[in-house]
This record gives sequence, C-alpha cells and structure tokens, in this order.
Amino acid sequence: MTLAAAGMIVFGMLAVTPGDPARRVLEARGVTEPSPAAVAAVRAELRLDDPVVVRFGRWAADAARGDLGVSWRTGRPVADEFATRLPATLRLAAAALVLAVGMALLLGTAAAAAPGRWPDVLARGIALAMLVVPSFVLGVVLLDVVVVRAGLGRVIADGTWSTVFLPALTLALSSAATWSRVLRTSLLEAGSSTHLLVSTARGASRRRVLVVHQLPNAAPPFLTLVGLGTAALIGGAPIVESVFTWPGVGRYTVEAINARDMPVVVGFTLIAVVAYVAASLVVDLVCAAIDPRLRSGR
Amino acid sequence: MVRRYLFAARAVVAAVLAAVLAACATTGGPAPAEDGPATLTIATGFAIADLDPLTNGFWGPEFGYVELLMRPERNGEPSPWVLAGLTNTDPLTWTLTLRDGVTFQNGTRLDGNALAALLNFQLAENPDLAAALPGAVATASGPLEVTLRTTRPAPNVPALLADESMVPVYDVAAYQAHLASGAPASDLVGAGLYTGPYVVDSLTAESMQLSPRADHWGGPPALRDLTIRFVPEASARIQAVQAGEADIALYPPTASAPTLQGRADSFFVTGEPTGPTFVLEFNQREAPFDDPRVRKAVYAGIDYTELADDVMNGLYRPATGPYVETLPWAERTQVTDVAAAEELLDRAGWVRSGDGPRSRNGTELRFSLLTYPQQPDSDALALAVQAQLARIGVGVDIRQVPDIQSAVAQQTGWQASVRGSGFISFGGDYITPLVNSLRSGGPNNYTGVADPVLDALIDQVAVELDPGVRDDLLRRIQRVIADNGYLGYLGVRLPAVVTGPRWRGYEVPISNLWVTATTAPDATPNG
Repeated sequence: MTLAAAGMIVFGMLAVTPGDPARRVLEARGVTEPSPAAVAAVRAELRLDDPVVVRFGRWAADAARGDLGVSWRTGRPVADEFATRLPATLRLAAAALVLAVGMALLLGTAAAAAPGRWPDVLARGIALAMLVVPSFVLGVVLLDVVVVRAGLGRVIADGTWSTVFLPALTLALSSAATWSRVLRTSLLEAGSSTHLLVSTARGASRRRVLVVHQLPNAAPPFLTLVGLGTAALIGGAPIVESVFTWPGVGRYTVEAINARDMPVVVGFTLIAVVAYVAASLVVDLVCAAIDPRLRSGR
Repeated sequence: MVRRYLFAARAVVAAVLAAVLAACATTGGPAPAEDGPATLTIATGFAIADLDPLTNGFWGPEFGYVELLMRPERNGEPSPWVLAGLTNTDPLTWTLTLRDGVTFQNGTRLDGNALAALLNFQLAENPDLAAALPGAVATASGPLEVTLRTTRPAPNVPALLADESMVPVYDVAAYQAHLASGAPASDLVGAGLYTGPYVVDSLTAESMQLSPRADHWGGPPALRDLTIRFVPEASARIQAVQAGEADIALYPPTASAPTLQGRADSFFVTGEPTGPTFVLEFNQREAPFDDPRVRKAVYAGIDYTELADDVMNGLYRPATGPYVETLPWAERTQVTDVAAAEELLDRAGWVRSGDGPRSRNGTELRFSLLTYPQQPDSDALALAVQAQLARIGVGVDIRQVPDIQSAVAQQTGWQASVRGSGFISFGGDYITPLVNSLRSGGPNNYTGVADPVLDALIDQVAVELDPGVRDDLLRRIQRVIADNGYLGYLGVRLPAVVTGPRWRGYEVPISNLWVTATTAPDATPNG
C-alpha cells in the first residue's frame, strides 16, 4: 500500500510538472536546441501523449512484475541502472554510517560525561557547526582544501573504498551532529536513574557506569534515529554524490530529475520507500534485542 | 580525570588515522610524459550513453571517434573533411567525392556505395535531415563518388553535411546488422563503426577510454591516450583540472573566470564565437510589444558594450545583430542609440515627466522579462537590461521560470524573455533557423512574427545557390528584422574551457570539435 501510494504520488507530480519531458530528455542527452521534429519523435517513442492514467497503469503493471521500465534518457532498463550503481551507494552509506555513529558516540558521551562543563560546551558547539553548514558547501570546500590544495584524495571519486572517505565524511557530519545531541540527552536521562547509585556504590568507575549501565538504557532512541538515518543514506545522498561525482544512485537520480526521466524517478521513490520500511523493521528488532522491556511490552 | 583525557586522546588519534586514510588514496593520475605523444583527459558535463549513431552519434565528432563529411568553418563556408570535394553541379544535384583510403575502424572501406547507403539511411531515420532535404535521394555514381539529388535547390547542403547531428560517418551495413541481431547498444563498443582517428575501447557511466588508430587515413593521430570523464558538476570539473585529474574541463560557467585569475594550476581559456548567444525576444501578440516602435526602442535603449565589457567582465562581445561579424553577410543592425529610443517611445505615446517611468493613458510602460536557472547568465543580463531601460523610463520585472521553452511556446502569458538560442547551426546552416524562428507559422516562431515581406525573402534565400545573391538577401533580411524590431541579441558569449598548465595554449575549436587528429598540447588542435 505504501509503495503503491508513493509511486502514484510521485508519478502524478511528475506528470503535472511544467515543461515537455521529451525536450528535457533530449537536452539531457546533450541536444541543446532540439528541433520540433526531434521532440515529436521522442514524444512518440515514449508514448507521452497517452493519458496519464494509462501511462501510470502501464508502469504499475510492469512494476508489479519487477520491471521498472526503461530510462528515457539512456534507453537502458531502470533496474539495471540501479543495480549498477547501488553497490557504490551502499559503500558510501556504510562508510558514512560508521563515521557518523563514531562521531556521535564520541561527541555524545563526551558531552554527557561532563554536562555543563567545557567538554559539553565544545561538543555541542562542534555539533552545531556540523549541522548548519550545508553539505554542498562543505563538500566543495573540502575538495578545494584537502584535495586541490593539500593534494590528498581525489576530486572525481570512482566509487571504491579508496576514494570514499571525503564524501562519507561530508555525508556523515549532519547525521552525527543530530545523533550526538539525542544521545547526550538520552544519556543524561539514563544517568538520573537510581540503579546507577547502586553500581557506583559497588565500585564501578565513571567510565564503566557510562558505557555499561547508561549507554544501553540510552540506546533505543539513539538507535531509532540511526536506523532511520541509515535509510536516508541508503536512499541516496544526491547532493554529496553530485559534488564528489560519486557514481551512486543519488547522483543518477538527480540527473534523472533534471531530465524528467520519469521511470527512474519513480523507481528511485520505490527504492527509498523500501529502504525506510526495511530500516524501521531492523531498528525495531535491534531495540527489542537490547531493551528487554520492549520485548515483554512493559 | 586522567582516564577521561586518555579516552579523549584515543579519540583524537583515531580521527587523525582516519584523515591519513584519505591521503592514502591515489591523487590525480600519472604525470604526462614530457617527450613523445601526449595524453589528454577531458572532463565534460554530459555523459555519453552509448555509441548508437542515430541517438548518440553527434558526440563522436566532438571527441575524435566520429568524422563528418564536411568541416564547419568560421567564415560560414564548410570545407571538405572525409570528402575530398563537394560540388553543386546543377540546382538540384550535388556531387560528393570521397577521399581515397578512408576506412571504418572495422577495416571496411568507405566507398561510393557505402556513402550512398549512409545518406539514404540518414534521410530515412533522421527527422531533422529529412525535414531539411525532403525527398532527397543519394546514388553511387563512381567508386568514390555519390550524387545527391534534391527536390528543390538546397544551398545548405554543405552546412548540413558539416552538422554533427545530421550525417555522422559510420558503417551503415554493420549498424543494420547490429540492429537485426537485437544486441544491446553497449555491443557497439568494439564494433568499429566509425572512421575517426580515435577508437573507443571502453564506455561506462563514468568515462570513455579511447586509443589512437595507426591506420587512420590522415596518419596516426597526435595523442597516445584519450580519456573522457563524465562529471556533471561544473565546480568538480574545474577542481579536477586543478588537482591534475583532468587536463581540460568543458562548459565552465562564466562566473568561474574571475576565480581562476592568478592561479598557476588552471586557466580560463576563451575562443572565437560563431554566433550570438542570448536572444531578447518579445511576444508581439501582447502589449506593449504589439507596437514595433516599442520593440525598436527597447533594442536601441540597451547598451550592448556595457553588457559585454562590464556586466559579463569581457567574457562576451557586444552583439551587433543576429550574426557575428566574421560571416560575410553580417550586418551591424543593433546599435545603442538612447536618443532614438526615447524619440520612438515619445512617438508611440509613452511619455515621461522628468526621470520618472513612462506612461500612456494612465498605464505605466512596464513588462515582465523571463529568465531561467539553467543559464545563470540570463539572470545577470536581465538585471543589467532592467537597469539600462530604467534610464529611458521603461520598467522591467524579472521572472525566473523553470522551463523557458515551454513558457515562450505559449501564445499568451509572457511578454519578453532572455533565452539561449543560436541563429546559425553547428554546421553553419543559416536557412533552418530563419524558417523555424522567423517565417510565419514556423515551429519556433514563438514571438508571432508574420511578415509577408520577410517570408518572401526567407523563401528566396532558402533556395538561392549563388553566394553573392545569398549574402544580399541575408543582409536585406537583417534590415527587415531590425526595422521592425523582430529579434535582437544581448551578447556574444566567448566559448571557453578551463585547462591545466600543459594545455594552456589549447585553441577552443569551432562547433565543440574538442578533439581531432591533430589535437595536441601547445599546438593548434584543429588544423
């Protein structure tokens, strides 16, 4: 139901978007001033003059069989196009996830370990800075400073592990900022529990209390955010992928949007919805595994 | 407290290690050899999907793996390329003579039969070519000769054969065999369909790799390796040059030029334009542009030199009319004359008191001007025009639209637009733009021009084979356009690329022919 509704909404929105898709497809193919004859030929090829309901029905029937159609821009099956690019996106998402979780844990625990003191202030300031700078600005600046001036890394990423660090770092920063703030709050809430007095009285160090006793209790909201954020990463990071020329799904979808490549855009919507649904399920299972209260429904 | 700091220290060390990982990634590519043939890596904004000649063949001449029958020239007279000669033997007949020894990359010889098959196939499959040469038929009239017969005089045949989107040279028989086999377009890599000096070895969504062809009819080409990288972001293309990952970045935005001044790792290199860039067009169906005096006044009230030199920082040349002055028929019809503009507006009844806006019968003289985000220069030019026209009492409201083509295709609902639109094709065809844009009922006649005198002149020039008579007709057409304010251009953008140090002497070519057999660093690439 969710998939069907999402596909219908996006398909409908694209159908009413101003502009001739045939012309946009030709421009995306590099024909800067398409002739009326060429536009007409593409309209006929893509059957754009059929009623939108007929076009959606045709697409939906194919999608139900696993056929996401053919890219209007490249002429290749959409499923193949995504399959080619998905490994690179998963690589980027995985690297960004590791960096984001690591930075969130570092900033969140440092802030919670000394609330109101300089580690907390510093961590919150860093998180704020990471949050307010737009990713495309950060990406361009990183490329200029780190790659062009310092000679480290590569401008044109090739989708492999050797060039993933800078795009993953750029992608991870805003997520890490948000997650660290939630983790700090959760840790402080968990830190006010009375059972921690018992563990302290039994000789547990502050670090042990924080890591062994506070963190698991603070984990569920943090993990929920991480899970949903992971779905956002897997769904593609269009801006970061475009800035770093990362050959993933996000960048491909941006190009498809510019070209009004409807089968690709709607196909991407389905992938994003599946990613969110799957990530939500995994988060629920992990939280239940960590917190027995969730298992028993208490 | 000590443990806390130890914990923090470990975290810092981890971060440093992570940064070091970035340094471990390969930076750029191998430095080019100083002696011997050079390599070239070009970063372009458009990806090439496949090597299908019908859908993507136009990319080939740009990157050296496809050739054309004729080569576009800046004087408007294409010269033979794969052809040895092109002769108009009578008003309806053209004789095409091939060079001897031209072969496709698969080894098949390009002879008269193959060329005739190519032309007939393109006439059948390419709607633009078919529209330009309706009913034309090609027949082999010798081992290296083809006769092309048209149904009406077609003086633009040389320009059509010099246009990358019309007749790319390829092995039609092999292509038809490929189509019949049902194989995917990706199989065309390695099929050797084309005659170009470079052969495509691999094509992915990220790049194209080419190697030189030793048996090319013109001799071995100048480069030992050619890579085309598809990089949609303009800033990334420029940074790739700066980081040494590319030698040339195509399609840099005009706004990037000032940022490159003083750098030693990248250079904004400009070339000679072949035509003006942004047309300022008026919808003649709607007031105030239903009055030719207002149209002419607006064109006369614009300072084209200021636009080129100050607003666009010298990266444009002032527009003087629909054609650049290197073309033999170009007339200087666009002249800034503020006094004449004001007199025209006074005569049209748009009067002003002091320096205020002009009005007539209580209505202010004001119009909306469309721009679009795909061409950022359109906004800069529109702002400048707004300021300039304010001096003569004309108000301008700027409105950005997401799809300007769709907006101006409507008969109503818009008054004026700034739009990127050439008035001469890549190959030098001057007829099709006139027919499409200015002839009554033309498919691109968005402004609603309907002038029987102009129509007659266009119909005459469309079939005029004598260059002298043609030039005279085109001059008369330009004067009619100017006398009625049918069309005007805001500027002539200089074509530009960004290069690294070794390619600083790169000559920006005509018609996007970025790579030819002679392209080399510190040499004229398109001789």
